[in-house]
Amino acid sequence: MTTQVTFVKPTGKVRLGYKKYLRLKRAQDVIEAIAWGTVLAVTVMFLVDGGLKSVHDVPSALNALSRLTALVGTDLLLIHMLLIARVPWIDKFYGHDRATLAHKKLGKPVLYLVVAHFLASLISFAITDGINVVDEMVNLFLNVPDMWTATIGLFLMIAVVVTSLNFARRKMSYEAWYLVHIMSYIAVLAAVPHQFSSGSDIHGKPVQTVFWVTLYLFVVFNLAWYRVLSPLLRHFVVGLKVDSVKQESSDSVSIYLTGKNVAKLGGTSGQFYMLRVLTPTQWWRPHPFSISAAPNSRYVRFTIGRRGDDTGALQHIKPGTPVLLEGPYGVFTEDRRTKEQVILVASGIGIPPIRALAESMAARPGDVTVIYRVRNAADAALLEEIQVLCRHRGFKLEIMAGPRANHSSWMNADGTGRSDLVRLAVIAPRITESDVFICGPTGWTHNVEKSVLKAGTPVNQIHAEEFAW
Amino acid sequence: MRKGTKSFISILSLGIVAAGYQAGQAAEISSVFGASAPISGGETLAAASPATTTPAAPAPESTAAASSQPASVSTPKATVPAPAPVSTPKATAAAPAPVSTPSAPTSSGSSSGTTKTGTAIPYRFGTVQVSVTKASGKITAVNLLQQGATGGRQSAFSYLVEYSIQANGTNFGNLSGATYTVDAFKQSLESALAKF
Repeated sequence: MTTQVTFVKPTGKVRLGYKKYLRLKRAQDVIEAIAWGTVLAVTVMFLVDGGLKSVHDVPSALNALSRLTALVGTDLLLIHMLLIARVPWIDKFYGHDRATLAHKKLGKPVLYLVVAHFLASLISFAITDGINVVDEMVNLFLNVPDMWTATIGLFLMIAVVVTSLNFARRKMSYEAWYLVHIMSYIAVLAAVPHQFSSGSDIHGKPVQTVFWVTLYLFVVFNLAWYRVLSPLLRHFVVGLKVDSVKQESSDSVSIYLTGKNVAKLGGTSGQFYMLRVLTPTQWWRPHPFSISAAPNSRYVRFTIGRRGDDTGALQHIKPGTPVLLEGPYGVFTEDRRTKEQVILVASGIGIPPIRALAESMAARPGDVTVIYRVRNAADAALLEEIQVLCRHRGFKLEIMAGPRANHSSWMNADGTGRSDLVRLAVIAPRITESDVFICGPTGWTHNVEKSVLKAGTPVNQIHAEEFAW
Repeated sequence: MRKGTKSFISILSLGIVAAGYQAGQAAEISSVFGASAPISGGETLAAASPATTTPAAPAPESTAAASSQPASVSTPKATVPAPAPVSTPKATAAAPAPVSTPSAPTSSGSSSGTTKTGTAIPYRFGTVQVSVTKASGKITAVNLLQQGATGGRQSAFSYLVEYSIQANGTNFGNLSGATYTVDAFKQSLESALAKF
């Protein structure tokens, strides 16, 4: 294929300055305060309801503990689900990776609270009934309304969290993990009914009922709309199909997608989409890829390295295959820029968002420096395009090819033995007053971040996107 | 979150939690683990139950719930303490002459209202059977003909009587720790109400 790449007109104007950063922080504070507010609300409703007043012996204390852990745990569980719903209003302020990280962090506390609720109520009931916990569990399972579904939900939740722990993730394929994770929706659905039918904090209490129903509906709406309906609807409007596939290097290809209304897709340079190839075997496994060309009205382009079963299959995707995109996501964009000077740093197949940013960023000649770290300059994805772009726009381009200088270095060996810091100062003398955008593998990205911080760049000017998660 | 916002919200939260706790001290209880009988419920019970089958309450004139529990809970929905807790605060099993409720006499033989008896509902922890007295479409009294329950569940009955009178039916919440008892009570109550 010889799709001649033409560059889009760069952004003309961009808002810069520290105030932009402050505005972002303020918005984050508001969102976090609201999230905390829901935890506070359920706790206060429990207290006002006399939750602690009834405590006077062991079973009643356990009962109060059971109620409180259930309330807070369920609330956090809903927040936990919202964090992974990829809702634009969270993504805009935190970015997909930070939301995902918060989601991961919240997983274990939620499970602990749910397990505490389970144990506390079990022991409390067992003491009251004067039977052992095993009999009590059988009894609850068989006789209390909706308790058997709740018990199943609990064990599913444990399964989901265990398979998400780091050591288990390493042993499982992404696909297997994904399949287990889908079960968490079933786990939550199974646990909901007993809250309304057997719990003492909702049923027959108008304020609590309204609060919880609203909370549930809000989360369900966000999940259903942003994760399912909105991408589907847009698919019917835009109808993307693979137009052509172009080999970029020995282990990467560019996939060009075209459709009826490509311009309606929106998005900005540096963002990514979850890509679903609509074939019978692959449609259920979306994969995240950054666009490798600035949004334009003719095509969407992804440049994909071969790093797993599915990305391997993508190298041979047939033209005409329909593709569904979810997104765009991510804040690795000019939206986060606060300075005139910009340094774009990419390694390997981290190049696509950097390439798109270089194309569309508002800049005068000399404002932007691009650093591209590759194993082999003769076999690097999009290298030629980057060279053309930088020459065309007057950007400084530094290509670092070959093995790395030493095990902690993020640069190549140049034979001089100078440290990364010294070399960075030569390449980008104004680094302290620059925004630095970094995209590459996790370990490498951290090394670059460390270097840049050491060089004196404030942390709010460093923007990183890791493509492996 | 920024530090300033965080400290501000932390302090605010502490205050709100403290206020919530304060408010909770005057609240209705929704768990049998609260285990104190509401006064007004106790009255209804004490005035009207003809016979009980619970082992805990041998005295015919006072039920298990009203018998041994210290009467210290204010009436639900009312923020002020129950009007004139004339009965001795620590009503013993032999509490004499329970105070009549101001609204209506509650005994089943009373002239105002008709009384229907519900089905006896056997459940895991005993059998529950109620009779309901209605006057001009309102439940004026609920009597427990059988109130079998073990563990701390007896204490649920006084609340259930009170709640059903307030709700004028079975549309009231669960009592955590006594879910079966609540269900059995509601079933019997519904069967009685169906006869009107």
